Amino acid sequence: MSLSPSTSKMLSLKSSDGKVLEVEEHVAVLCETIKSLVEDGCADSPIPLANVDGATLGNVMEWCKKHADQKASADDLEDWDAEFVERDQGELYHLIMAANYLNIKGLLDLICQKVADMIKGKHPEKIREIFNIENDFTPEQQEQIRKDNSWAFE
Amino acid sequence: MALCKGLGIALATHCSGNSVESNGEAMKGRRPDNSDEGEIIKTVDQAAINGGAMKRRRLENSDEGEIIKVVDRISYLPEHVLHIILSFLSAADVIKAVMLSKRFRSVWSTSPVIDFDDTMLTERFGLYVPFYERTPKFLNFLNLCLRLREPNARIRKFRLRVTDVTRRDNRIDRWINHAILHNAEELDLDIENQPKLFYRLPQTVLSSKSITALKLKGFRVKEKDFVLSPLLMEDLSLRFCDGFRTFTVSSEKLKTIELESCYGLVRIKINAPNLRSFSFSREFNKPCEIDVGACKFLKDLTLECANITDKWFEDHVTQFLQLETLKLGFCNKLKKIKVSCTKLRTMELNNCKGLKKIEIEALNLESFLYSGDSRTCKINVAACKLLKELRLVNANVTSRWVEDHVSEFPLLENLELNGCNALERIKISHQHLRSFRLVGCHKLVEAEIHAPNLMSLSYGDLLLPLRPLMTFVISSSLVDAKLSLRTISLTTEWFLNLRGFLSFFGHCRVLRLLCESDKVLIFPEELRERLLPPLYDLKHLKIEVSSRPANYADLVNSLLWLAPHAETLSIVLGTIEKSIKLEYEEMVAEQDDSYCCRFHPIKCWRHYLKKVTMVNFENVDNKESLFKFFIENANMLDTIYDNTKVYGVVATSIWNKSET
Repeated sequence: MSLSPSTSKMLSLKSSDGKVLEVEEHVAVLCETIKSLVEDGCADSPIPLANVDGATLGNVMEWCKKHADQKASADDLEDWDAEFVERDQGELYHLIMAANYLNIKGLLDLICQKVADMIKGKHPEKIREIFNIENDFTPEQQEQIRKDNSWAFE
Repeated sequence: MALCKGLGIALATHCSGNSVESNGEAMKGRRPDNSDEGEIIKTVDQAAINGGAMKRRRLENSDEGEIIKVVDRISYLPEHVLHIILSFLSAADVIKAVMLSKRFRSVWSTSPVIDFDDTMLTERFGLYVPFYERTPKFLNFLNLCLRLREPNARIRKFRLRVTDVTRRDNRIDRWINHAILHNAEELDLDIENQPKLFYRLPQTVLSSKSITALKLKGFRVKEKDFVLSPLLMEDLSLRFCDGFRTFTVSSEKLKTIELESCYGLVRIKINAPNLRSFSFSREFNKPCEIDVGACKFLKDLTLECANITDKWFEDHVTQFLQLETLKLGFCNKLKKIKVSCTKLRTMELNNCKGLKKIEIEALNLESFLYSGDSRTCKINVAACKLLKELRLVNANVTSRWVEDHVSEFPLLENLELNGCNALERIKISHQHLRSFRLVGCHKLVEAEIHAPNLMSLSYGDLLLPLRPLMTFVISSSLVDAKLSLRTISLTTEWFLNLRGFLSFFGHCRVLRLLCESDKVLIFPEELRERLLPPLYDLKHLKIEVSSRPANYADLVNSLLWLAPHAETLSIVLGTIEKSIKLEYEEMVAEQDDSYCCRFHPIKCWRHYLKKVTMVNFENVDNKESLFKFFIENANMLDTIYDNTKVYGVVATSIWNKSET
């Protein structure tokens, strides 16, 4: 289904905290979940999105709008994306969950790449600190892991 | 409509947003949702460990009054999302991630992408770890990892790279078989061995029905004949593999085939009507029959050290109507070739030593490279009116040829003439030319370049010192010119020639001089007194040296003589660039009665220089001599900036302004 911007109608999206966002259809259908509703003709009433809060929905739609823009060049999008992911962990988490829920592969990959970049090249202890991950191995397991992996990093 | 309503409800009530996860496993953790109350609650994912019971834990704030802002959200992401994150990490980082917690270990145990690479162990704390130390440990590690895997977890991509294993090893074979058994789609196996040593390929690999992309490096295939009738395979790459003499494949699905350095190969027969790319290369010329005639939709063809003849070329290449890229290297049997593929965009001919005549009538060709060994070869590319890039290396072309051809290509942007020793004088006139590399043409004495849009010019005479006859005319002021300078001895003749040669580059936007040592640029004082500076108009001069300048003051002194009105001087050593920014006063002081420039119509920097800003000079020994040089020579100088320090200058004394 191809929808040109000029003929695009508006869709209403309702966030978990009750905020209603009006979005052009050709932008919203970047979300596979919404696209299948549109294709089935079920997108008339405000579409309830119970797992996305208003602020996150706004951010997601901002991304979709940029990526639905036919005029944006690949370089341009890359720069824009790099700026888009400059957020705190809370926002990144909500964006990942929303991208997953709305099934937007491009956005999900983008944020996952950002998280991977935050992990890259760091010592496990540092990674735990950044994400506040609890080391739940028992001291014996810990010792075993240390032994098994001592060759990789000390 | 009923269906639609159902969907709407499903959407509204879907738990955890886990809409794409296929194995039906709901997210195991719960996101801490009242963390903003000032109370830190951390849920620990025990579900993965003890089968469902959830445990909540309250973290005490370690420092009184301070609230820990970060909550562990990453652990509670859906498993398939964590898989995506792991897939973006290198093998080394994945190992570290697996060590974080039980959750991460469990996520890895079902990850569909598995990547093992022992090169991540090559360096630890900057020290090289020899393979005989790391390979056994790495293999043991593989074994441990295999035990961690969930028995039914799917594998999509399996990559293994390991060094120096020639004997059959269970730890490797078990993983390969495990991947095949779990229907791996992409298999990338790279055993980095000494030349001519191979690892025996487990038989399961070639009989796998699920693989879509197979890459093998360093394997011995047991069968004398490599026959493949893959069901789903689209991409196949065999590099440094041995054991098979013939290679026969027949497939509708195959899109790319790469055969590199498969030593024993004598016959290749490929029947793949949808093949897009075929590449064959080896290190030496040895007869090998190549039959790819059935691949009518070939777009990219690369042949290196292939024993093909003119007849083969004619029979095959004329058949490939879709061909876009053609690269031939060391195909020494070729004598005369003619190419007329209308879709061809890139063509490279690299050291095909027998070639005497090349005729190209590919009307859409955009890039052409010919690299020869200075033997006579007739090249005709004049029909390619859309050519954007022309590169000739060790080509026996005449000035006439170059001039005639360049004017035939209205869209030409990049031109390289490298080692073309028949050229003595060239005159290039072109509207669109943006980049021109003119290197190693030893007989060249005169070059005239009229190209108003030229942005980049490289000139280098790699072996011989500059000759006095050399003249160079460039009519573009946008140009960033790069000159490689080399000499055997620092004679007066060298400096006279250099001065003369540099004077052609005075109106470049930037002039870069590449030399091994800065000594070649330090003009003797008696010459400086006698001669006029060559680069009066130059604003930006950049020096790239391979060894550290002995004395920055001497170098800067000579550079400022070369370019007496330079606004920036940069000295690049390796990756570090030191630069000096010079700002001038408009008017010369009336009482300027200094000795220098007495007989010159235009006065030098000494009479105008007001401010000096030095960047990256922190670790320079003898920096004081550079300060002293500026203070003693520049009459109008009032300030020197050095990193964060500011120095005031009055007469010949200096004080640190930034400290007062």
